[in-house]
Amino acid sequence: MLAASAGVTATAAAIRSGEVSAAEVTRAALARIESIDSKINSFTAVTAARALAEAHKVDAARVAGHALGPLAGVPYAVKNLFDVDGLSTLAGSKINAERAPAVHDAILIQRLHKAGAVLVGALNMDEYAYGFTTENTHYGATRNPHALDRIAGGSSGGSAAAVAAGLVPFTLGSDTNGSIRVPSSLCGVFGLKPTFGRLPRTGTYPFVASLDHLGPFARSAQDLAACYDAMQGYDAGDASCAARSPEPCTAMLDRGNTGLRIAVAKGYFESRIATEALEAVQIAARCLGADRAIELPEAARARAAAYLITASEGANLHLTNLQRRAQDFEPLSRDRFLAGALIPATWYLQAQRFRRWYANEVAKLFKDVDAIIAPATPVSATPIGAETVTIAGETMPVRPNLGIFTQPISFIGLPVAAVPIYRAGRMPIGVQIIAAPWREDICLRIAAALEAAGIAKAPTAAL
Amino acid sequence: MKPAVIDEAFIVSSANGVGLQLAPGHIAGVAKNFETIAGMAALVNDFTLDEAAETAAIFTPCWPPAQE
Repeated sequence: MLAASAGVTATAAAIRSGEVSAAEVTRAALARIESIDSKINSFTAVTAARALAEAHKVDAARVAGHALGPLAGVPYAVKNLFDVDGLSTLAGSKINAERAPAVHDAILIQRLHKAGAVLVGALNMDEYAYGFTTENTHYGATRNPHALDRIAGGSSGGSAAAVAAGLVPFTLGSDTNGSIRVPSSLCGVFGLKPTFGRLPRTGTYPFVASLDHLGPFARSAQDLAACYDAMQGYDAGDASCAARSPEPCTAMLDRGNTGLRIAVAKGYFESRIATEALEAVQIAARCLGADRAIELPEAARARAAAYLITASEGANLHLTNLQRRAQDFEPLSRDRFLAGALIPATWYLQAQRFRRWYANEVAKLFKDVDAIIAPATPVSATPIGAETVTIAGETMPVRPNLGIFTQPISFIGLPVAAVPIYRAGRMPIGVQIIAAPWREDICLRIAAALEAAGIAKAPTAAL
Repeated sequence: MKPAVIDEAFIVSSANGVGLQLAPGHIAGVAKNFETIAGMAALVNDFTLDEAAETAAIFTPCWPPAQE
């Protein structure tokens, strides 16, 4: 039997060779969820019958000698804003629990099904993805598998925690302002936020349409690349999806960082940051020989503009329910949603105009560098329920500030790999590897290089 | 707009303008959040952009659906 820590590639290989059946792997994943998830609260639904049916089909195909997909028999789960046939798409809310069950899977689930992956359930998140902690009042907080009294990060907290706990080899989440990268950092797993428009969002519940991205979590760069490659491709159902052909990355990982010009983000990314987060950046930079520094122009304004766009579009999406039943919203984000509804159009439009200016200015930086290293979070995981955190002598609210280093990047849709920098005996923390648009291959190559050097690691939590 | 003018009366009347009847228990929280937003807006609005600077989101005309 495969170890719980077996990743995507190892699991698929074992099933392909007949060493283990997809049904055995699926039953083992379901048993782990049954015995462990009550400690971390990462799942909101388990699709056991569907999973076993999908696994039996994989096994039947193997016995019949049919070609198997690259992810054949690999169990996974999705943030509960993905449509799953037969489940109501909660998006972390009480309100959406009243919706009829979805009648189709989201397009990315359809693609993973084609690749042979086996869906075992849906995962916890901040309500409507508006948060960085996954302290969900309706469905309970997701706990960090590495320290159960601490947050998992958010809004895709269930997605990161399920991978960190070894419940499944990979998961899917969404990232509007940092919701893949923040929980990846705090739970110590790899995460990929692709370029805006790369992966179609068809069949997912939106938060901020002009900023929303989807992407995978896994315990290695190679696993991340394998999942990502299986999901690429245009879909007309998402108006923001780019009409680009898939650009597979998996085969490029062994090129490492050879020939890549890598810089460290300075200025904005060095203030309001704990020593441990700065150390993580320094460790990665040393390993990669990144001795040049670079400053993203007006990063603080970029973060502010992302904040405005998020608040305004998010409130607009939910205005009818805010008018009719505000009391049913998550108490931790309700007042933020209500305040967002009051933003004048001119503020929103100025933020969108600034966004184009900023995107053009940052694009110029990539003439001289191929990738930028930046912290993913200002601190490691904070205690569940903490309202404030003190960083470098400054006390600030936890919930809006965990994304201060991720917001200026997703704001202009750049691809980013969140990479866990391993420090034995200490809480996980990650760095962002940022590249020019459509260069996910560079992010993943550098993530793989850090892993090969033993700097990046995502050990399964002992639970 | 300076945060000083964001008092509860302003919040209630602005909310009414977009069809929101704020419960009394929410008003202070909404005001606090709106002050944060106004601070962010001040930072963005203080930045001088060229008059020709377009928004990031640009409208694209849609093709008609293909005929059956």
